[in-house]
Amino acid sequence: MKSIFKISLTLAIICAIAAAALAAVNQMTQKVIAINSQKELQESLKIIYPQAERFEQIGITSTTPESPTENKEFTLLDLYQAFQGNDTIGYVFKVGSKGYGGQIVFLIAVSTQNNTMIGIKVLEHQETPGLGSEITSPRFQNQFKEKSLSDHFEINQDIQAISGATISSRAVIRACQGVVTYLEKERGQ
Amino acid sequence: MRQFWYFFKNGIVGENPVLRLMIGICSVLAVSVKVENCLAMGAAVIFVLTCSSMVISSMRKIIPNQVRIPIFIVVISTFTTIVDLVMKAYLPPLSKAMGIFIPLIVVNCIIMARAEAFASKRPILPSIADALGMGVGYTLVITAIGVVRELFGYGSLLSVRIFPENYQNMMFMILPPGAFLLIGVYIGLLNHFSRRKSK
Repeated sequence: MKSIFKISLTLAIICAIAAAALAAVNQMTQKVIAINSQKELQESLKIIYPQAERFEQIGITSTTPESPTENKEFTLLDLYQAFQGNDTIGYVFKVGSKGYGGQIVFLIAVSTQNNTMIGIKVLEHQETPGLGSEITSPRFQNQFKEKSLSDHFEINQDIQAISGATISSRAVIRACQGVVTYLEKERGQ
Repeated sequence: MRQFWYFFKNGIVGENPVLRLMIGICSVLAVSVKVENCLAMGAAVIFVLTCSSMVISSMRKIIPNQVRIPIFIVVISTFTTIVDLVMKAYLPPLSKAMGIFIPLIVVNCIIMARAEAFASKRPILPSIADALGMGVGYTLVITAIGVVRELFGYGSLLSVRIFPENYQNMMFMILPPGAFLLIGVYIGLLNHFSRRKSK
């Protein structure tokens, strides 16, 4: 009996020390990580929509808009309105879509002036390095630039998928379809 | 000091974790597509391995034998989480490129195996030497694989273009089979040279 007590006590003490060490490191890095991601978001918004002068976060009417195909596994996270002076020139959607290794979080910028997609930018992903991670490459992302929103974003017709990473490509395309549907719905109302 | 070098060298050649002990292969397959990922992964493994070997070795007399594995895991995962958080805070681009593989260092069998087979039985200094040797051995092999895979898979090295723009990327090198094949080639080379030396 005594030995069981001693064993669990040792384990408990070691766990407590580990927890304390982690709490300290977390305390130190938490702020920096939060600032980094905030800064990165602002920079990403500027990169993806260079014409816009400022962005304002606005509310989303429904978080899971249906896309015509594969409406599951796709969520709208945030929505930013892009301004040039006092005029609204478009929107930036922050969306999450289920990829091969988990959720892919990225931005989709659309212009409401000429009804085209400005571009996409991946913020977070856990796709396979070298394959799925190619969704961050300019070669893939440039396909979305200046794309008319009346296109259907069909895989391998409008958008060429990355070879060896169909699931990741599909996840991005699915979100684009979702955004188009969302905009159509908004306009309809 | 001689003993220190002996254990250090043992990890690089004699008992190279990837080529001789054949452990920790999964992270080698997954991360070695680009040289910079390899170097970052190597650095993370060296850090976690050295710190946990040091701590486990210094506590080896108070760790009860019955619960040694849970204690090893707690120690290893603590250091891994520290690396993960620090990388996220100060090296965000790298942390993004490594994705899931940093947290997965916890289950990298190299670290667990060295804790169980070496650090829990020996004093601190040899344990550090062993951990450094194993870590460096791992990093050398993963980088050697990464150089070939990145060169032929992407036509670049450290993201600097080497081959001309119209070079057709060798998909096979980016996919896991490329890494398997290279590991096999390196094992063969290592065996060949160590055999020649002993003759």
